[in-house]
Amino acid sequence: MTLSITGKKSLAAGKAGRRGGASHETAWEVDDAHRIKEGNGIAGWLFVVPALLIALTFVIAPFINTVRLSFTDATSPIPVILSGWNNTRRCFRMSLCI
Amino acid sequence: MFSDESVHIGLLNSSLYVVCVVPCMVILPLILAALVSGNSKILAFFRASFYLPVVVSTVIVGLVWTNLLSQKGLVNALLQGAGFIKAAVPFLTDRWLLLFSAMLITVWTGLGYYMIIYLSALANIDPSLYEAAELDGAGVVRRFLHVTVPGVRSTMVLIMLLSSAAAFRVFNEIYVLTGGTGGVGGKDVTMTMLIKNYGTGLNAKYGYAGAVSMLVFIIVAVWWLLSSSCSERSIAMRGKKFNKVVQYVLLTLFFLILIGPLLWQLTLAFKGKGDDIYAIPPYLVPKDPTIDNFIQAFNTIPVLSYFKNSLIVAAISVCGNVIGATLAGYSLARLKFKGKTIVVLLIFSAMLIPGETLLISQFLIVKTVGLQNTLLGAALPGLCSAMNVLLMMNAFSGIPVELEEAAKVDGASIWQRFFNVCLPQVKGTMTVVIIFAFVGAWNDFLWPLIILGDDSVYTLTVGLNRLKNQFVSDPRLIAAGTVIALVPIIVFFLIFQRYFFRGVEEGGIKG
Repeated sequence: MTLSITGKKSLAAGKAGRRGGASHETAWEVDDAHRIKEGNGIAGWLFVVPALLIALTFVIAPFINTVRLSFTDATSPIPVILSGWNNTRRCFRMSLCI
Repeated sequence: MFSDESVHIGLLNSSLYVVCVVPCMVILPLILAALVSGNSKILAFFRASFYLPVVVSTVIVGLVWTNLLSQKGLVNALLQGAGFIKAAVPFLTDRWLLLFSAMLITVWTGLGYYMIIYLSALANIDPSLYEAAELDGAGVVRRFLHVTVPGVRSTMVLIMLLSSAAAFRVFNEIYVLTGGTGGVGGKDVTMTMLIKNYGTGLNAKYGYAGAVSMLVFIIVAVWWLLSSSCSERSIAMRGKKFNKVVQYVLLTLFFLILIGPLLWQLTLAFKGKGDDIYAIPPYLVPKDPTIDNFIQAFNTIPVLSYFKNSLIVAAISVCGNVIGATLAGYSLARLKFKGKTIVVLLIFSAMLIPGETLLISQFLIVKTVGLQNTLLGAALPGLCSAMNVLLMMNAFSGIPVELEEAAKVDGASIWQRFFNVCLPQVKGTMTVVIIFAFVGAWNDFLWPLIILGDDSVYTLTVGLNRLKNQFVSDPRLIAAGTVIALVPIIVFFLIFQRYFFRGVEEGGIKG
C-alpha cells in the first residue's frame, strides 16, 4: 500500500523546470498541482491546528512523558524519585530470562 | 500476579501471539479478497458479511466465543457430536488452549479488516496482466501466484507489519476470556495487560508501567525495522485446480466460520427455558422462542444508559475526526505554508507509536485536567486519528487542480474553495472516516475501562463485560446482551457499507 504524502517527485520536477529554462513548461505540466500551493501561510496553519493539537496533546506529549516516567519510581502523577535505568534494567533482565 | 515473573510471561505470550497470528493474517485475508473480488451482487453480499466481525466489539466477540468455547458450548458439542472427542476440551481453563482460543478470536475478527486492504490493493492491479496470463494458458492458481501475489506484495508487507504490531499489543481478547485475571495464575497475561495492571488502580506504579510501555515500543519499533528490511522476500504458494464451484464452496465455508458464531448467538438469545442449549448435536432454530432473555437483560443492567453513553462518545469521536482530519487533510494536500514538513512529521509520527505505550501518560493527562470518569475524557485520545488525516489527505490529493483554480479565478476564497469545490469531491472518503471513527469509538474497550470507573458513565462494551460475571450461569442472557449491543453497530454498518466499500476503493487506501 502506498500512501503518498506529497507529490515530491513532481515538486522536484517543478524546481528543475524553473532552473532548466527550456524544460520549464513541461515541468510545470507534470507538477500542475504545485501551482495552487502558494501564499496560504496562516490559512494552512489554521486548517491544521485541530489535528496538530490532538497529536501533540495525546501522542507526542504522552510519549515524552512515558519516556520520562520510565526513569522514575513514580507512584503518583508527579514523579519525584529518579530511578535511572532501574525499571528498564528490570524489564530487560526479565525478558532475557526466557 | 504482579510478581516480576509476569513481565517475561507477558513477553512470551505476546511473542507467541505474533508468531501464530501474523501468518494467518497475511495469507487468509488475501485468499478471501481474491475470492470476493468482483462486481456481482452475491460477491458484494459475501464482502459485507465477511467484514461484519470487524465492526463488532472485541468484548462482544469475546462474550460470544466464551459461550461457544465453554465446556458445554457449541464447539465442544459439535466435536462430541461428531465423535472426535469424548470429554469436553478445556478451551477456557487450560493455559495454552486459552491462548490459542484468543488467537482464534483475533484471526476471526481481523480477517475482514485485512481483506478490505487487500481488496483495495487488488483493484490497482492492471487487468491486462490477468488477460495476458490467461492467454499464456495460466490457470486460476497460477494467475493468483504469479500476478496477484506479486501485485500485492507491498500490501502483504504492510499487513505483516500492522498485524504483528497489533498482535504483540493484544489485550481485549485475553482480558475478556480470562475475566481480567490473565488466566489461571496469571499465566496468560500479555504486555498490554501488564501496562494496564501496573499503571492503574490504587497501587499504581507509573514509573514501572512506563518502563514496560517503553519495552513494548522498542520491541515493536525494532520488529518493524527488521520486517521492512526483509520485505523483498518472495512468497510462494501451491494449489489445486480452481473453479467457480470451489470458489463458492470456499466462500460458504468462510461465511459459516465468520457469521456462524453471530448467528448462533442470535438464536441462543431467543431460546426459552424449554430449549436444551447444551443438546448434542446442537440445533439452531429455537423450539421454545421467547424474548424474556432481552427483558431480563434490560432489567438487570442499564443497557439503555450504556447505549446512550457509547453513542455520545462515538458522536464526539466522529465529529472530531471528520472536522480535524478533513481540515488537516486539505491543508497538507493542497496548501503550502512554512513549517509544513514539521507538521507532517508530528502528525504522522503518531501512527508509529503504539497506543499502549501512551496509555499511562494519557490517563495521567486526562486525570489531571479532571476529565476522568467523563464521556469527553473517554473520547479525547481518539478525537483525530493520524490514519484518518492520511486518508483525507490522499483523497484531497486526487482532486484535479483545475477545479480549484477555476474557483480561484472566479474570486473564491480559500474557505469557499474548501467547502464548495473540494469537500463535495471527497464524500466517499469522509464516509470511510465516519465509519472508522464510529466503529473505533463504539467498540473501544481498553481506554474506557481505564478512564471510566463509575457505572453511570460506562460505555456499552465496558458495561456488557459485566454481563459475563452476572449471568455466567445462563448463556441465553449473555447472548441477549450481546445481541442488544450488536444490533446498532450492524445496522449502522449495513446502512453505510455501500459507501464504505466505494470510498475505500475510490482512493481511501491506495495499493
